[in-house]
Amino acid sequence: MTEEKRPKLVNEVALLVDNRNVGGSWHVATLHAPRIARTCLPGQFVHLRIPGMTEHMLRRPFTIFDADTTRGDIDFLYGIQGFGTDHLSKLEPGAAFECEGPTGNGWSVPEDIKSALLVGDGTGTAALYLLAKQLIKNDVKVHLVMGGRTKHTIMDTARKFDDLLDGPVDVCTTNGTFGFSGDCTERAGDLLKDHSFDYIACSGPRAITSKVADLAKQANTPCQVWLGSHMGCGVGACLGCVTDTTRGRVRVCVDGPIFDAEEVIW
Amino acid sequence: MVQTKNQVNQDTQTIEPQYSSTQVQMAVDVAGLHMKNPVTDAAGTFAAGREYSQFVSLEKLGAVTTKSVASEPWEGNVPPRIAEIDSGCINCIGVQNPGMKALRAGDLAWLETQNVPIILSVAGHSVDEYKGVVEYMNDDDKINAFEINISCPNISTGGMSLGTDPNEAGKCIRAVRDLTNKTLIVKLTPNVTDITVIAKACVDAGADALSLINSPKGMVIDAYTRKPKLSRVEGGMSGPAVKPIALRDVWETHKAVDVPLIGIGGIRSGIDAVEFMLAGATAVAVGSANFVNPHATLDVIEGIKQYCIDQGVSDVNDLIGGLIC
Repeated sequence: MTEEKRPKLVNEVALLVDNRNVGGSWHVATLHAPRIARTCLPGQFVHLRIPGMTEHMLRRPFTIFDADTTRGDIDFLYGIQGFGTDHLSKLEPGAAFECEGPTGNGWSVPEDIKSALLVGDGTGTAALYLLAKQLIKNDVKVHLVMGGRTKHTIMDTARKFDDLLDGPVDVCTTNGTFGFSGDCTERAGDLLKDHSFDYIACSGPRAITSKVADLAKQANTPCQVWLGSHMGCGVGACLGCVTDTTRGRVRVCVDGPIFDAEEVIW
Repeated sequence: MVQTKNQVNQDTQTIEPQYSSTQVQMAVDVAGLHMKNPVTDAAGTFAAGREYSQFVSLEKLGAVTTKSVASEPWEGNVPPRIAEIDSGCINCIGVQNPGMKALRAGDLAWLETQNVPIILSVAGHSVDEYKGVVEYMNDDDKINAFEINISCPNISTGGMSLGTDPNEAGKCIRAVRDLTNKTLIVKLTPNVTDITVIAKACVDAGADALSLINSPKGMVIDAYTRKPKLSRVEGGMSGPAVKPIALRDVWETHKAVDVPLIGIGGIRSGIDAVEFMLAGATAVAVGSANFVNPHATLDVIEGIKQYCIDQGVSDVNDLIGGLIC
C-alpha cells in the first residue's frame, strides 16, 4: 500500500478494555481506539505509549491482531519478553494509552488468487488474522500453519483462527505436545511438496520468515513476509528500524513491516 | 497553575494540544537566525519534518533542523541500530542520508513550503565533504542556517573525530565559514575532556553559534545472548538520562564563549527547556522526546510560555544565563 493511500495516522487516547492471559505468557489486550479500529489494514501496527513506564520511555510496536469496527476496539497479541510486556500484562481495564497508528504498509495480496498459505510463528501469527479474514471474504481458500512451543501457549489463539477458517488450523509445536511435531517451516515445507498455492504470507521471527521465503522461491510462489524490528519513532523519521532490501536500506516501520520476500536481503 | 496541555477531543478521542493565548515575548535571535520561539528539533530525530507534520504544524516551531546530510548518499550502519536504556535510548544510526542532491530535490523542497526557518545540518567524512554540502546549498535562500555536525559518535571518519580535536575542528569551521554568510552553527560532542576548548576553537574559526550536546557514547549488552545490543557495539545516548551532562556542558560553554547556544539533551518539557536557558542557552532542540510524544516540540513551546506566565517573565530572553549561583 503506497503511503498516499494509507489511512491517516493518528495519536489516539485508547483505554484498555481487556487484558487477558491466553496461555503461557501470551496475552490478548483489547484497546478502545475507534479511529484506528475503523481504518486499519491487515498487517498494520500501533505504536503504544504504555502508561506507567516513565523510565522505559520508548513506545512499543504491536501488530493489530483483530479490529472490531462496530465497537471501535483493536486487539493485540503479545508474549511477556521484557520489562515492557511484563508491565503491560499487569495493567487493568481503564488504563489509558497513547496509541499511534495505524502504521505501516499492510499486506499486498496479488489479484485473482484462489489459494493462500499463511505461515505464522509465535505471537507473530497475529499479523495474519486480519489478512485471513480479508482473503476469506474474497473467496480465497486459506491454509494456515501456526507454530509455537507448546500446546498450552498457542491453543487459545489457534481456536480463534479455527472459528474464522471454519476448520482446524495446522498447528505445530516444537515440543510435540500438539499437532505436527516440529517448527512451522518444516510443516510448510512438507505441505509445499504436495500442494501448490497462489500466494504465501509469513509472519514471525526472521529465522522463520527467511526459511519460508526460501520455500516460496523453490515453489515459485509469490511470497510476502512480515519483519519485526526494534523501533524508535515509529513514524519513519529516526531510521532506527531499517532492513536491507534490493531497494536499499529501508525503514521497517513505514516502508514495511510487510515486504516481498524476494526484495529482502537476508 | 499550569494548564492541562493535552486535552482529549471528546468526539474523536484524538489528542489535540490546547494552548493558552496569553502573550509572552517568545522570539529569540540565534546570531541572525530569527526564531519566533526558542524551540527547534534535534538533528536526526525529526528527519526533515515531513513525518512529524502529521502531528505538528511546523510553522509553529522556532525552526526545523534537518537530519544531517552529506555530499553523497550514506547507508549508515547495519541494524540493530537502536535500543532502550534507563530513561532514554542509544543509537548507532550512522547518519544514513540520501545525499544533498536527493534531499534538496525531495524533502528539503517540501520543507521549504512550510513557512518555517530551516537549519540544515551538514555531515561529512572530511573537510572537503563538509565544504561540498555548504557550497551546494548556500545559494538556497530558504535555508537560514547551517549546523555543522562535527560530533556524530557513530561514523568512523569525520564526524566526532573532527569535533574532538580543537585544531581539526577549527580548520573545518574556517573552511566552511569562508563559503557562507548564513548563520553558522557548530554542533559539539560531549565526548571530550573539556568542551570549552573545542567551543573556543570553533568560535575563533568563525562559528556564529554553537549547539550542544550531540550524544554521549555508551554501550548496552544483552546478558543472555552475551552480545552487544547495537551492531556497532557502541552508540550515542539520548533522552532524559543525558540531560545533566548536557546542562553542565551548556553552562560551562556559556561561561567560556560569547555566542548564542542551542541547548540539546533530554528535553521533553517546557521546564527542561527553561533549565537549559537558565544555563545559558538562547534556544533549545527537542530530540528523542519526539519518539515518545509526537507533539513534544509544541508541548515544550507551550511549557516555556506557561513558565514565563507563572513566573512573571514577559520576555523569554530574560531567562538566558539567568542561573543563580
